[in-house]
Amino acid sequence: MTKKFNKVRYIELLKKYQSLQSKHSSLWQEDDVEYSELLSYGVILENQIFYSRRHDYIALIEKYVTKEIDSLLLRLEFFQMQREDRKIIKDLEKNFERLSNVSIDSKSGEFSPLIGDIFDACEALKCDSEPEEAYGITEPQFRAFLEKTFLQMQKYSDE
Amino acid sequence: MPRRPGHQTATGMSGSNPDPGGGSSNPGLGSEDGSCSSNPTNPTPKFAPELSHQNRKKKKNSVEVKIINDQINLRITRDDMPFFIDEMTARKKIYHAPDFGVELPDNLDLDYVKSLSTKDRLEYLSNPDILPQECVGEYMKKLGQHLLNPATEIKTGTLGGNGAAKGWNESITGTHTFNKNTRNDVFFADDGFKFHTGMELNPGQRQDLKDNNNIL
Repeated sequence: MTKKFNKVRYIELLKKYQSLQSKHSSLWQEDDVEYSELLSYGVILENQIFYSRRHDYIALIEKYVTKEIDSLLLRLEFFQMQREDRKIIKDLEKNFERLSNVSIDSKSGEFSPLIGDIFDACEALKCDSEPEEAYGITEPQFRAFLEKTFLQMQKYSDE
Repeated sequence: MPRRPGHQTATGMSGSNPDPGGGSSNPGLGSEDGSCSSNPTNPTPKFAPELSHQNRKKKKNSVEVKIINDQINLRITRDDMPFFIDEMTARKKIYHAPDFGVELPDNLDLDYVKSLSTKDRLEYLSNPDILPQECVGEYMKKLGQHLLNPATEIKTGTLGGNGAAKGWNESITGTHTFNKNTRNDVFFADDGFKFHTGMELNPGQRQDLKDNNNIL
């Protein structure tokens, strides 16, 4: 993580973003550089939200790796967790007092890409009926990838 | 393989539904509240009135609904560009439907899924008795409304660039239709301009789309 989480600046940009939105304008139209900066803070917050729920994510992947659940259930639960996390982020973006109290763990930037990888894999998993050349990964590839990712996730489980 | 001309970004007009030849007249069907519970006998998606007036501007927007072999097929024209959404693909991506305000049916509840046999789970998403066509139709309707929303930007790009970097299949080229207000992106592959996936993007995915014209 190279970018520092400047909460004061993040809140300032969020206020500008929301103010412009209320006037039926938008930050991305007004100032593309500031919009990119806002997105970059959003990514740092997202990393932290994922990291805060790391035990839930690790437990879910473990269930799949140990064959307690199948890939359909995994995807349904994983995407539901992602929706819940996006809601947490949206709520924080509207509650500046709570947002100003968020602390960013330095490990969140290492852990979060693993969640991104799992998202990509869940989205790429294709059915047996799809042709070999079709975009995506097969169930064995998916399982192998998640087993490898699970091993990488485990080192965050005790922290 | 047909491809859209070079990289482009467009935000457009409100849609219209002139119902060009062969399309369903689409009468009074589907629910307006995003639930899948109404009108179980006819699942054809209905588009809101604001999408139904004749367009008066240069570029054409339209919605055409066809039922082929009992499957819903949408052809949506946005700024003269055709996009196709088929029921089978929408069915496979149904777990993203809540991102578009569509409630999944009660029997898609995780506890219910857990009670199914492995075989039933495999057939789960393609079984209209479990995942009703009206629910999939509602999702397709929302995808169409997203596409015709004037705030939805259209630009060429790729899907799967990050997967390709991991050694998965090559990324696919196509068209992103991203709405910064809802944060939803719907991707259409160049191969037939067909719907591939549609979901709300996380901050990191929005950044990837902005910087690299890519998601996943």
